[in-house]
Amino acid sequence: MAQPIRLDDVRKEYHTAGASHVAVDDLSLEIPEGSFTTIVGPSGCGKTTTLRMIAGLETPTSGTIHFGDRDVTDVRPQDRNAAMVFQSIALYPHMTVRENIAYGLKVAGVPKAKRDAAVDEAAETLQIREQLEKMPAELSGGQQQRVALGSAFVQDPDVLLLDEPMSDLDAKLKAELRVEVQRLHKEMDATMVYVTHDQTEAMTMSDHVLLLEEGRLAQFAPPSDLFDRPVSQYVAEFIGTPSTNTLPATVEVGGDAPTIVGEQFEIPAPSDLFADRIGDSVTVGIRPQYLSPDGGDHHVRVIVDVVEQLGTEFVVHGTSVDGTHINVVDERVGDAGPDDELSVGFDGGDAFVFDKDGETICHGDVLVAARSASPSQ
Amino acid sequence: MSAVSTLQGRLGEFDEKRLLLLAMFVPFTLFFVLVWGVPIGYALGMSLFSDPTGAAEFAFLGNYVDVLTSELFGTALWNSIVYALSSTVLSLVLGLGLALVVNRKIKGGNALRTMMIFPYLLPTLVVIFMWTFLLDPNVGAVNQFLLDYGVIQEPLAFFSSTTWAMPAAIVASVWKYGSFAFFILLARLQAIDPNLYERARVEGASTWQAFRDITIPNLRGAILIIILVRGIWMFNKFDIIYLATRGGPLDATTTLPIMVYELAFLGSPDFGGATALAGIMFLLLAAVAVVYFWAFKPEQEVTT
Repeated sequence: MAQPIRLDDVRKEYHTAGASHVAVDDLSLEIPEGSFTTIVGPSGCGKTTTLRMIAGLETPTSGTIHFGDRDVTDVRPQDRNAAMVFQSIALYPHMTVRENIAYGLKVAGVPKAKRDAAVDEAAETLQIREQLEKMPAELSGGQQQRVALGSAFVQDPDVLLLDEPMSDLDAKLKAELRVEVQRLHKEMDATMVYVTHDQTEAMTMSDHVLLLEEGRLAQFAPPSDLFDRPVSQYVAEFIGTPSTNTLPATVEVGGDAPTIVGEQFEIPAPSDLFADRIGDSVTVGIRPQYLSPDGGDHHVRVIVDVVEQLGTEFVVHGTSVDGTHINVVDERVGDAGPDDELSVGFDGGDAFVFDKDGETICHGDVLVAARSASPSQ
Repeated sequence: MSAVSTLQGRLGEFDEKRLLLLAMFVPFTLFFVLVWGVPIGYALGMSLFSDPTGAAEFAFLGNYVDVLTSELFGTALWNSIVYALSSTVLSLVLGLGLALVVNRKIKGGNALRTMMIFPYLLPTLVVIFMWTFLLDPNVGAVNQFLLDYGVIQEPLAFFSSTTWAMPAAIVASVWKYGSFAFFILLARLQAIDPNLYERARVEGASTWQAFRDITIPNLRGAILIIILVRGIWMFNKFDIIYLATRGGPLDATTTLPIMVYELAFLGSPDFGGATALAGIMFLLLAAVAVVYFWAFKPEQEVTT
């Protein structure tokens, strides 16, 4: 039975030779039962520590972890009915693939005939039937990963934890296994938590994404929310490739409403949010995908540095006149060459506004509403 | 033209390689033949003659028959087996236990690891002096300790008792050589991916099951090699026993190497008998090693 996972003020500190380091800082959230949740963030943000605490391999310094109604904070990993796939894959090198997959069932006392049936079923699903009698060292990296997934699959866990399982695979295998993992999730009755540093994996695979920043929750939401409604500049810049463009601006008095004034653009802003911010410096965020050479209400001139081709799209890496680094992703910018000047525009509806601490003041929809309400436009 | 030059190039390369191989191989073959082959052949040859260093007379297997039928041979063979087996097994158990403890990264583990090398570095003479002192019936700490706790009523002269001389020699040997197993097993333990244990825990395995299913299979090859190598060394061990007891009392600790020494150098020297006994030991060990390799295949390592 899949179980929701609830973390309440979970904190993990490490103490080494007098110095103490906070790996996870008062994390509270509830992962819905049966969901596919990805924990993502840069190295050292505490995502693996969080996963290991859910598995029971680490004990929180404070706070509690519940699987459903059951408090598992101090329950041994053996007794949590969780399964885990490790970054190092961790297949038992001296056992055949069949024995590897069946090991969890064997220690649980499942009779051999039943074990074999379960292994055969898992092998069928994961297309590793031919490999069952081989030793792990004889398998390719992708096959080894399938075996690790298989051993998690046969245990029918309530909670399936995956710790960067694909970080050592090449791009093609990654894409293949991404599909495999999602298929497995559909077949299993388990809450899945997947740790990765690769935000593409996080965005493509999961129902919910938990983005961490130095052990703290940055945002926990469905992938589209992280993309379209980031709660901070950190989230906006971490999620999405290339990274969100950030343009410095100032809030100024413009007519009867405050205006966000940048080097090359002016965006009318709603009074309720910006009236007491007059004179503050803010940052306008705009995703490279929302900059286009012909459209948009607001314009930025970009000096092209490098153009990359990504299939049908092109990525322009450039600099605005005030020296801000700006990326543009579009199908129509392929003709641009280095040192060309490109005028690109964006709609206020696609922009984010962050205060000087990086917190989101508002998203584009609020700016659009402000503009239509403004009589001067 | 180019074909010819390629061929020449290849030949030249081949010659160079062969020259290098010969340069590496020949000196060591010569060295091996001179230092090992000749003395072994010479000794085996001697074993076929009666009085080989004096009035040598070809006796074929006469010396072998004499040695095998001598009263002492049975006792010495039995003593050798007891000594080799128990000291090997005990040092393996001790070494494994300590290696498991140090591998847990406990406080003081590094200090313990460093200390473990000391018995191995001490000269055997010093080790035996230390143990005869510790086990001395009048001033020894061990007797004092056992008396204080009421384990024994009278002090025991360990090295001069037919019952206790062999166990005492074994204890001293395990103390000196236990670190051999310890270091090999510790190195092997440290090579095991710690994630395997974590995976086993998440899969529901108890500590004992993880030990049985992960640790032991990974150590299997190392354990088998330790038993073989340490067993052969202990079977041939001369110094530690001879220094402690001179094979006594009443031949209670006379092992085969000590019997060889006694035949060769005590009383009327019998080099024929001594070399024949050495030959018998060699054949015995070779036979055991061959059977051992065939039965256990210790060379099969866990591939990671």
